[in-house]
Amino acid sequence: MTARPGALRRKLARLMALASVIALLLSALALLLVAGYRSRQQSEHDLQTLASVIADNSAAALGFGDVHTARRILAAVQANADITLVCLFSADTAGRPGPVFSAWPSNRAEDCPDTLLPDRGGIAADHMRVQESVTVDGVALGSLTMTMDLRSQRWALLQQAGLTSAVVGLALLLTFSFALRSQTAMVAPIMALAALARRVSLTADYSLRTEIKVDDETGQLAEDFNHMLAKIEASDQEARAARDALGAEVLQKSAANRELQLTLERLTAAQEQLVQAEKLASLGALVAGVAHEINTPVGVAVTAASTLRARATTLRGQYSDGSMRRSDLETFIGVAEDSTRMLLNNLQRAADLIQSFKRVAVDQSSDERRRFQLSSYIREVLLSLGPKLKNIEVVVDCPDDIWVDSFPGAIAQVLTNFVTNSVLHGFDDGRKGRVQLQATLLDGQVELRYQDNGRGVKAEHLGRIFDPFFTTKRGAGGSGLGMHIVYNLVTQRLGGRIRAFSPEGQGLLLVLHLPLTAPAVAGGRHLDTTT
Amino acid sequence: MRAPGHCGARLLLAALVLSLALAPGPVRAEDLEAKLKSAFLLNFVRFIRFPAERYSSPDAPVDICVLTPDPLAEALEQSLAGKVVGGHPVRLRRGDRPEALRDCHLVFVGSRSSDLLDSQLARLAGFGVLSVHESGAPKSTGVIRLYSSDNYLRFEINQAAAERERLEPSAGLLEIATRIRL
Repeated sequence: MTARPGALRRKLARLMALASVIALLLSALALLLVAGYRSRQQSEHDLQTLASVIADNSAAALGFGDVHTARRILAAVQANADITLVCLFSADTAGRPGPVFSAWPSNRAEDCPDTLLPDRGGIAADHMRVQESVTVDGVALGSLTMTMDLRSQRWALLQQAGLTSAVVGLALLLTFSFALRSQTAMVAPIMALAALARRVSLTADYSLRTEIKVDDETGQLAEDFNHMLAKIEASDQEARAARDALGAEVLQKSAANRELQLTLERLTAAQEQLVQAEKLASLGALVAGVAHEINTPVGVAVTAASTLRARATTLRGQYSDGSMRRSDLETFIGVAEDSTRMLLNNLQRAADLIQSFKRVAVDQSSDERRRFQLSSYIREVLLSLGPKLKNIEVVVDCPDDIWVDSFPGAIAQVLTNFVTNSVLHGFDDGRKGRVQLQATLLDGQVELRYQDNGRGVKAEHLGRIFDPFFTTKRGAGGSGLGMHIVYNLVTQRLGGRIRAFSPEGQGLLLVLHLPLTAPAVAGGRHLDTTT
Repeated sequence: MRAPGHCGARLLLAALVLSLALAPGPVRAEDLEAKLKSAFLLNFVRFIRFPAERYSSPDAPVDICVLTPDPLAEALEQSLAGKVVGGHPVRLRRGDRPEALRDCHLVFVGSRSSDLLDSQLARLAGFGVLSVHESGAPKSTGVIRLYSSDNYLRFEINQAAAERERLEPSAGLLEIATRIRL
C-alpha cells in the first residue's frame, strides 16, 4: 500500500485550520458581544453620570430660575458629540415632566420627551435616554433627561467587528501558513521515516539509518526506528550466519552423501560381479559333477567294450587258425551278452545323467518358470552336486505328490548353496556329514527343512547369516554372498520365507516356507536374475 | 465676572414661579420684591453649606434673621414662614444689633448708609454668619451682596468672605453668582 503523499499533512492542516477558525470565530463573537454589551453599559453609565453632573450643576440655576446659566450649563454636553438632546424640566409630578425650563440644543425644546421614564434602548435602537432628578438636600427642584445617539457607538462596534474579522482572517491566514510550514517541518521527518521504512522493506538492507535529528517526539520515533533497525540488522546477520553455516553443513553432508552414493554404487557393482562369479562357480561345480557322474558309467562302458573287443579279437584268432572250439564260441556269446548289457545299461545311465544335468544347468542359468515334481527335481539337483557330496550322506524325504509352479533354477541354486554352505562351513574339518532334506505340505505351502549335522553357527552370527558379504571364511574362499542370494531368491523370486536355527551341537537348520505357486511377477531387479 | 443675560425678566418670573408657586393671594409691588428676595435668601441657605457644628441635629431649625429696622422685615417673614430648607425648618428672628444676631445662620442687612453697613457687617464678621446685604458697591466684609442691574435682581459672592466665615457655596450657586474676592 502506498500512502498518498501529503495526505496526512493536508488532514492536519485542515484540522488545525478548522480548530483555529472555530476558536477564533467563537472568541471573536464572544468578544464582540461582550464589547457591545460593555460599550452599551459604559455608555449608559457615562450618560447617567453626565446627567447627574449636569443635573447637579443646574440645580442652582433652576433654583434661581437662571435660564441663561442653565442653558450654558447644559451646553457643556456638546463636548460629547453623541449627546443629541438634554432637557431640564422645572418640576415633575409622579413621573410626568413639568414645563421645560431649558433645553440643549435650545431650538429643540419641543423635542423634549413627555415622560421621565428612562429609555435604555434595544439592541438595534439608535438612541438611549436617561433621567436624573435635580435635587438639593433631598428636595426635588426638577428633572433632567439626556438622550444619546447610539449610531456612532454602533458604528464603532461595527468597526470593531470589522477589525476583529480582519484580525481573525489575518490570524487564520497566518495560522494556515504557519500550520502548513510547521506541518512540513513536522511531517517531513515522518515522511522520511516512512520512505526509509519502505526502502528497507524493499531492499532488506537493514544497515540503513535515518539521519533525522529533531528534538521532539518525532526525533524519539526516529531514534527508536534506528534502534529497531539496528536490532533487526543484528538478528538478520545472525540468521544469515546461521544460514551460511547450515548451507556449508548441507554442502558437506551432500558431498558425503555423494561419496556414500558412489561407494554404494561401487559396492553394488562389485556385488553383481561377485554374484556373477558365484553363478559361474556353481556352474563350474555343476560341470565337475557332470564329469564325475558320467565318468563311472562311461568307464564301465569302456571296460565292457574293451572286454568285448578283446574277446572278439581272441575269437577271430581262434577262428582263423581253426582252433576255435564250440565252448569258446559259447563263452564269447556269454561275454558278448553281458558286455552289451553292461554297455547299454551304463550308456543309458550316462544319457540319463546328461539329460538331468542339462536340465539343471539350463534351469540354473535361466529364469524359466514351469510346473514340476518337487521330489524328482530335488534328486536331480542333488545328483548334479555329486562331487560335493562324496563324504556326505544325503537323506531326502519328499512325497512324490508335491507339484509346484515355480522357478526350478532358483530352487536349484538355493539347494546348491545350502549344500555348498554345509560343505564349506559345517563340515570343513573333514568329518563325515549327514544332510537331511525334508519336504511337507503344510497349509497349502511347502515346508522345506534342510538340516546338517555340522558345527553349526554361533548365536552371534546367526542374525547376520543372510547379510550380504557376511562370512567367517573371508580368506578361505567365502564370498559372503551365498546365503544372501538364498535369502533374496526365497523371499522375492519364490515368494516365501526363510529362517535359520542353530541349536547348540545340532548343526544348522534352515526352514523354508514356499508357496505352491510362485508370485506371478518377480518384482524389480534382483541379484539372482542376471545371467 | 460676566454680564447679566438678556432674559433677566424671565429669570425673575421663573424664580417666582419656581420658589413661590404655591404662595396664594394678590401680588403687590412690595410683596413681589419681598417674595423675590425671600426666595433668594431661601436659595442661599439651600445652596450654601454651613459648618456642621452650626446645626445641632439634622432637623434643627435654620435661623434666618433680619437686622432691623428694615421695611421688608414684615414681608420677608410672611414669605418665609413655614418653609423648610434641606430638612431644617426656617425660624425667623429680628434684631436691631448685629451682636444679637451672631448666632443666626443668615442675617439679612437691608439697604442703609454705607458707613452703618460697614460697621454692622464688620460686627457680624468672624461668627460664621452668612450676611446678605444690599448696597451699591461691594463690601469686603459681607458675604453676599444683592443688587439690581437693568431691573434684574442679581447677587455677587465675596469668596474671600465666604471662606473666612467657613461657608461653602455650591458650584451651581457660583455659576449663577457674580464672583468677587475682596
